[in-house]
Amino acid sequence: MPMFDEIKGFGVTFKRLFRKDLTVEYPDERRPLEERFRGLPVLRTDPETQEAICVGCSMCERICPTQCISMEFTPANEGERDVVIYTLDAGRCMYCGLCAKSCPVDAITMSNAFELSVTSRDGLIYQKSQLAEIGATAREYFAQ
Amino acid sequence: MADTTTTRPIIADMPHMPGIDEQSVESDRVLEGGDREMILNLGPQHPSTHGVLRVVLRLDGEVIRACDLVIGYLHRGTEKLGENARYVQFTPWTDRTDYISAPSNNLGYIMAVEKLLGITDRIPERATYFRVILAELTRIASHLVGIGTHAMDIGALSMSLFTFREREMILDLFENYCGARLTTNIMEVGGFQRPIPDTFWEQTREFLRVMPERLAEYEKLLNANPIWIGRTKGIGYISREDALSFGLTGPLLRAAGVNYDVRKALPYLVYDRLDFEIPLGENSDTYDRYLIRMEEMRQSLRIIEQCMAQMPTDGPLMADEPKFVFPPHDAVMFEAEAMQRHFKLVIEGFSPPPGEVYVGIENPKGELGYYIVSDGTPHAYRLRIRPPSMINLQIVNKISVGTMIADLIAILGTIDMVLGEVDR
Ligand code: SF4
Ligand code: SF4
Repeated sequence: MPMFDEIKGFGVTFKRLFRKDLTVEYPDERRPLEERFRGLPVLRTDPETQEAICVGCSMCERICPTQCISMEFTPANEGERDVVIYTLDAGRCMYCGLCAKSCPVDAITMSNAFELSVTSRDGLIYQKSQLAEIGATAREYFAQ
Repeated sequence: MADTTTTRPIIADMPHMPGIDEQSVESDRVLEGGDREMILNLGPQHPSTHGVLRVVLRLDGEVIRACDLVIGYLHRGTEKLGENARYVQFTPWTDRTDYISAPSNNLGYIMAVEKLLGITDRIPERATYFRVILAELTRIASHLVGIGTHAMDIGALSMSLFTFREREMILDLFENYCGARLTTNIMEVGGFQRPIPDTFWEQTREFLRVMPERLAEYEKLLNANPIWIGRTKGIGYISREDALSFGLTGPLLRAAGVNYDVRKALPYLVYDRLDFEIPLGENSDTYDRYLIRMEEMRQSLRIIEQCMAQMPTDGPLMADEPKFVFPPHDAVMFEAEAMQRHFKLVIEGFSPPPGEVYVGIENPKGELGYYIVSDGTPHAYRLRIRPPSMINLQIVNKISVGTMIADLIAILGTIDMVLGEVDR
């Protein structure tokens, strides 16, 4: 009975009419992100000094498959070094999380920032201060 | 010229059936009566080509006389990248080959690397079961996209909305464990470094509870729908011989009645301990392949259920192979030895012994193979991916000749290719 079969399909869609909407009106309403969400990699900061806790070991720079992290540092006291430049080219980043996994001091982590569109490519290059600003509230990558 | 308006032409009925040289789309021939055959480009930007695939057609009215696929628009040199990146660094790139089923691609690559290192037996059982669960979730997600977009292309728009609703649940699961939905980078050499959250299991149970009901809903929408049947039954017939000689794998091969599934033929991980069936087709047409994909989803649900029951509730998730796997994160901070190991793995990576391996796994689309040649350095000397979609796609030239142009859309849908994997 072809007629009946067609109606069976309509029945499914018709029932759907009376259920709750599944879609979210995006800019006004957001779906909650999972705890481990991988957004823009950012630098976590020391809550007291507001400085990035990065020690400049360059592990993240070396493991990054797309070479999107670049850094320059100067030697500081007692064999430490100061990171003077730390840039992240978000245009190349593929949010794989390897940098956060490789950081020995949990200084770089994957934040919840995902609305990253900008009007020029230069805006995709994040400097250390910008990363630290977003990172001030980010959780540790291995927190859980 | 045969009267093509009254009955659907089949290959045998065609007068001057194209021979091998006439199959080329270049030969623009003049028909009887002075009309010319038409060359039509379908794609590269056509919604039904599921990516950027260009199909050049030589048409006689609406009937396809020759068909040529032009691929490569999405080529990124993934294999070459694999030869220039250290083994650990390459995993994220594998997400981007078949981006609909990223965890399965991760698994194939990681298993190949583990085989190269000779640590396949050292992977903890818990991690192995978890890998199977992720791979089967991927299979369901991929088939949902496959069926949804396939149905959408030939008119059943609501189907895609229904299937994407359930796929969303699976993507939520991936996001729950690893933080990413599409390009997951979820597997690691040796197992898993991060613990599995309890919420993951809750969500999986919820998914297992609702999914059978939803599958029944899809069947109500499509199985007996006269339009769907008219557009799929008898379309895109692939003979058993063709399926074998073209090297097809996955649902396409099984619809032709060949019982070959890597999970059963060459069991890997824990598939030999699980009870599941391989659905086979009889008619080898588009409708059969749809039924097979539906049944495979049911079997995948069974597999996930069994894995959850059999999986050890505690125990390590990471192999104890200090030379190849990253030390636990806490140890890196506080133990000098672990820190040195960590630095060495990040800076140099590991160097597998010289040799070559091939690992094939059952991807949702067919047999996905990774072939790695190692020369004893931290980079692969040669890395080759056997992409199931690309090999399955080659049959389109053959089966579309003699069909109507609208059937080509159904055929492309039933192949269920992902262009990211075809072009790599
Ligand atoms: S997320 Fe991946 S691609 Fe992005 S900076 Fe980190 S390592 Fe590089
Ligand atoms: S790995 Fe961590 S500590 Fe080292 S340079 Fe990168 S962010 Fe800084």
